[in-house]
Amino acid sequence: MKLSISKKQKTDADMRYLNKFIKPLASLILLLSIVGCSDKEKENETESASLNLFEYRAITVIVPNVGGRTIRGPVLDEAKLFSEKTGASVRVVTPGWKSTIGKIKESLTDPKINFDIFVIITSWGGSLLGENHIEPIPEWVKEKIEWKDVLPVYKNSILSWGNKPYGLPYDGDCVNLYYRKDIFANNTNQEKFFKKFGYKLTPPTTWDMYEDIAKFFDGWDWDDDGKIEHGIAENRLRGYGSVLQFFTRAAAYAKHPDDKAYYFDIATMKPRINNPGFVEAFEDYINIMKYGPKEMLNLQTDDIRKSFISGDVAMAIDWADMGPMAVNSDISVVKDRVGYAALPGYDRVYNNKTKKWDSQYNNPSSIAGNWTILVNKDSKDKKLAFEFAAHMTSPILTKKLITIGWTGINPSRYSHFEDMSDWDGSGFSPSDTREYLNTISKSLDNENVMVDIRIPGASKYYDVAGEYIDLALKGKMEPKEALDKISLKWDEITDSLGRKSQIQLYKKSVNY
Amino acid sequence: MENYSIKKISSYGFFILMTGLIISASILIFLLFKLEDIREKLTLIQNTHKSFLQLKNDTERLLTTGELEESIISLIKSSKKFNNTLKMSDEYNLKEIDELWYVCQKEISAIVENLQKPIFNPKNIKHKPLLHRRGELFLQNDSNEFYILLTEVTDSIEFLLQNEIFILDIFEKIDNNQKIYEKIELKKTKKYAVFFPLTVLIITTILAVFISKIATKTEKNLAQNEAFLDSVIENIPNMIFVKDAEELKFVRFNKAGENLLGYTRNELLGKNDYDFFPKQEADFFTQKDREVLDLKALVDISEEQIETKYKGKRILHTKKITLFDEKGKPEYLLGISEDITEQKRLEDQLRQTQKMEAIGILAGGIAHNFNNNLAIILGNLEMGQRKFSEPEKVKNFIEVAKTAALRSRDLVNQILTYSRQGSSTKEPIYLKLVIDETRKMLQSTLPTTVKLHYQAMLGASEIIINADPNRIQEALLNLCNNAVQAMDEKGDLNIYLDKVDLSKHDIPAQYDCLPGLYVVLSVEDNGGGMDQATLDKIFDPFFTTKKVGKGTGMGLATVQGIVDQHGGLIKVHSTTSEGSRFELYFPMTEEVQLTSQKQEKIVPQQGTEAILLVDDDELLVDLGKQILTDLGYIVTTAINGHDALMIIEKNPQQFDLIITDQSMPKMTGLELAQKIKKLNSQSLVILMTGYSSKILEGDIGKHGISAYCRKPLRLVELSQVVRRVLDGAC
Repeated sequence: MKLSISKKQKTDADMRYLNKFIKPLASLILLLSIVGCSDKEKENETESASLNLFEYRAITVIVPNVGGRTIRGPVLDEAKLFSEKTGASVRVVTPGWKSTIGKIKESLTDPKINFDIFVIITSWGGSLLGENHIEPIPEWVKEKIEWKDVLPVYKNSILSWGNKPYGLPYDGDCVNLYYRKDIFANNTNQEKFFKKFGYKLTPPTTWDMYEDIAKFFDGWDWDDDGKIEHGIAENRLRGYGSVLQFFTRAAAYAKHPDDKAYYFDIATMKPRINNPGFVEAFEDYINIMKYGPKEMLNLQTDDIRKSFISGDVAMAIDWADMGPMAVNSDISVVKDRVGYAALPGYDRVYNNKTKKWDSQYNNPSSIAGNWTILVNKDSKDKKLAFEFAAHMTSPILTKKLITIGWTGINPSRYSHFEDMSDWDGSGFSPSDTREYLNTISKSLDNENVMVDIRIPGASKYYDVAGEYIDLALKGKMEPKEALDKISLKWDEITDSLGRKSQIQLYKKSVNY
Repeated sequence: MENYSIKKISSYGFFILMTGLIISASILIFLLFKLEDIREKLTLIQNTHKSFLQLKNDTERLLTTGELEESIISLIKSSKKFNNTLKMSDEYNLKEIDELWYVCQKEISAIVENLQKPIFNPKNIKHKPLLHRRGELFLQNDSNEFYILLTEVTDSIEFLLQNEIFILDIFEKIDNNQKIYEKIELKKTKKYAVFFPLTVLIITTILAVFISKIATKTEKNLAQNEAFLDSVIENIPNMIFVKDAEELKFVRFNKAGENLLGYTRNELLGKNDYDFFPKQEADFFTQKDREVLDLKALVDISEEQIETKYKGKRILHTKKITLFDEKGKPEYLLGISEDITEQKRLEDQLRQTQKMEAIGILAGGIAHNFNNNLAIILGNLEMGQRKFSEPEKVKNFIEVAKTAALRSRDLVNQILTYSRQGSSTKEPIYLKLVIDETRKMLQSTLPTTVKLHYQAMLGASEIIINADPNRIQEALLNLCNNAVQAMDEKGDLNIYLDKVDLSKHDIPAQYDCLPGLYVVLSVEDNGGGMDQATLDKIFDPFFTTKKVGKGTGMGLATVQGIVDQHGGLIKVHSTTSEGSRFELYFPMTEEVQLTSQKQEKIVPQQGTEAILLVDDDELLVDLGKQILTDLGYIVTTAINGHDALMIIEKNPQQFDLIITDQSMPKMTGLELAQKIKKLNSQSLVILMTGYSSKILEGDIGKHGISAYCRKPLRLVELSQVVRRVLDGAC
């Protein structure tokens, strides 16, 4: 009988053996309990889609609806793609043109409403900049968007404020002249024109020539399509477009090459709107209407483009959108038939300092009406906002957009003019591409440029101008009277906003 | 005892199982609640989503329907409804929707306000959708106020729709997330619904297997232990028994017990002592059992007598102890008994040998004493013969001779008493008397070169101890002999008797004595003393410092044994070259009714009855006849048992009394008495003996002997005995 160990020893041995199991078993149960109550988010992470950079983050972009998909279309499209790529929610709202300003203003005062990115014309931007609502562009963004590639004419003017960059270069607007080169080149037309006006029919270099040509091509079917065509189509519908169109023309008359200021006196903020230069320009602006469609009073930018690419008019003044639209729009009948020229000038320019006309050819470029992307200083996610803004204004994307007419995006960078092959497939012929880009390039090389009013109250200034310009256009007021009224109202606006601060801001806005 | 381990293991196992189940159940309940919560949330979100979809539809209807008024009302309604629903969803953190909804609400207000303007009259609207109407006006190039306002409103509606789409996107995301979350939680719940119970099951199974293994092992160990214990108990050569504490019935017996008692355990189990043993023995056993159970401690019964079935009376050394149950209550009584009958016999033999040895030592003294007395007897008788004519002188000579004879008789008695093998019976005795007796013997036997001194405390004559006087005497003699030898038969031998109160600290640890009053019997010599090495061994059996053949070495061992039997203790003080002192401590006892140890004054009794006197010594027969005849009795004599029997057979009733010597050839006195009893059961027989180891005085009654007398008897003593027997007092 083998009983070599004591009862106590056996009990102890059994207990040690059991303890080997008890403790690990108890620990196992506890561990499983903890694991069982693991965090939901962790589970979700493994179950849901792959981890995105900006997942669960959201920004709101406001870009006005100017008609069609112009300007806002690419933002809507890219917002969707960007959201899919990064997981962020990029919400794009496109209120009507008129209500955009109001909504922006409301957002600046109502803490429950917030727009992280403003895609706006530079004049509205000036208002926001002047009131310190805009975040300066950080270095990493400048690097990301290759700031050095942006044309100086934009960098140094409309994208800067007080010589500091704020605006990202979305659209490089530049107003040029578009004409039917085939109609111009037509021998019969050439002969007829020469016969009537005594000089060769060429793209007009002055507004007087512009009028002659408009007159020549107005009211007859010069393209044998069975319809009566017109000489020109211009923006006359009451609104920003029409006002801009006026100021663009008036620049030749009143934007002196030696004066950075245009709308106001730099020292006093006294409006120049009713100086002789503007008055004469306005009179011509009204006069030329008779050479366009009778509904010209209702025409805005999109209508102008449609009129031209439909072959209804011989000339149009437009931003660079017209070029791509003419070649790749479905309704265009003018593909390969469009000539591009700089804006006409004027044989004299009013010198607001001397209060006299200077007899010199003045041919400033108009880079008004540019669309820029600004990041709200109070954005709740500046990083994401700048990421999206940088994406929208990247060389690659903008290079693509400038070749598509409906986008409303025009060249703003050196690289936009470098590689003609980018325009392959855009519909432009190589020669047309060259001509188109050269024209724009030349315009942008001009040191004398006309820009928007970029100070607080800009929309008010424009609205007032629009109101009285419209009245004058409709014959309800004389041009000078209208301009005087505008001047008066502008003074009131200036005073209401504070003349001193307006003076300072105006100086900054022209990078004085 | 092994069950405790299984109990603990089972408890652990049960605890783990319950913990596992509770945790599993808790987690599952938690997950189910979570799922319910998710479902509720999802339902709420879906309801909110649904109401928002209605709102969006109503917004779109504003643009697409011709029934403007109706669509405005619907829009307002659905806007309110959604707003309420959204408030109910507050807890679900729809902050993002809140912000967008705020914008929408503002837009809705502005839209409704505009659409309620008079300009939006049916005349202008023409029951056409707003978008349609706007297009119409555009184509008409009609940029009047209505168109402008209409454009504004439609733009507003578009703006509203854009924000509504954002809200819808959020709802979809929340919905998707909730669904994914629900899916994940459901999956998790399913997983854990299987996993945890399975885990618990596995753990339980493992535990069950483990417990089963332990249990099997434990059972096996238990069985082995039990078998081992059984084997041990069965093979222990001593009797082991277990009684229940209530009725003291046997519940366990081993083989040794069966062999000893002569009963099988089947016969024994369930019965108690009274079923097997004489009442006196059973009373003793029961009393001791109760003592053990009351004391709850080990009781060591150094000697107890037991009547066995086949082996007769046996002497056992028994130890008993109480066994307790789990609550500490006495449950059983365990006893272990060693049969020390043989050991006792050997001890007695050894003691006897020791006595003989002592006597041997005393032999010289005894012989000298006898020679002296004989010389006195012989001389005086011769002188009596010579001076026959001078009766006074003869009387003196006879008196002196008688005194010497009596002295010799006393010495013989003492020696016989000392050397007699007898059972030890303790009774309350006056210790002083025993000491006096022993002193007398010593006085007679000690060499003259040894001076005997005795000192007793005051009141020593009143000291009573519960002891066997023979054993006490034996111990004292042993000590005195040792002392004489230590002194080389030259010096002072002192005996002291004193009384002392021993405290617990006074009692050496090896003695199981209780504190209290003790009598101290000390023997002191001025011999050579002993060193410590010798002192350490003196009580060891067979240890001796004497030359070979001069001693058994059992003397002090015997003294130790005697002291132990009497519940006492020994202390020894010794200084080399100065002497030794042995102190025997005996516990004192309260004075009890003592059988009188004091001698009464007796006078010769006379009678006229017929007496047959039998003795193989003719001189003693004649002397006896003369004495009895002188007392008036009619005496017939015989010189052997055979002749005596023949006389009696002639007429068994002719004698009133038969006085016979024990030690006779061919027929002992006892045998003669037995034969006479057969012839006449009423015969009275007195047995006379100088010494007989075959007869104990207590056994006389069993053999039909009326009285037992030790020779030589004085005339007065003989007349007393004869008269008492004839009178029927014995």
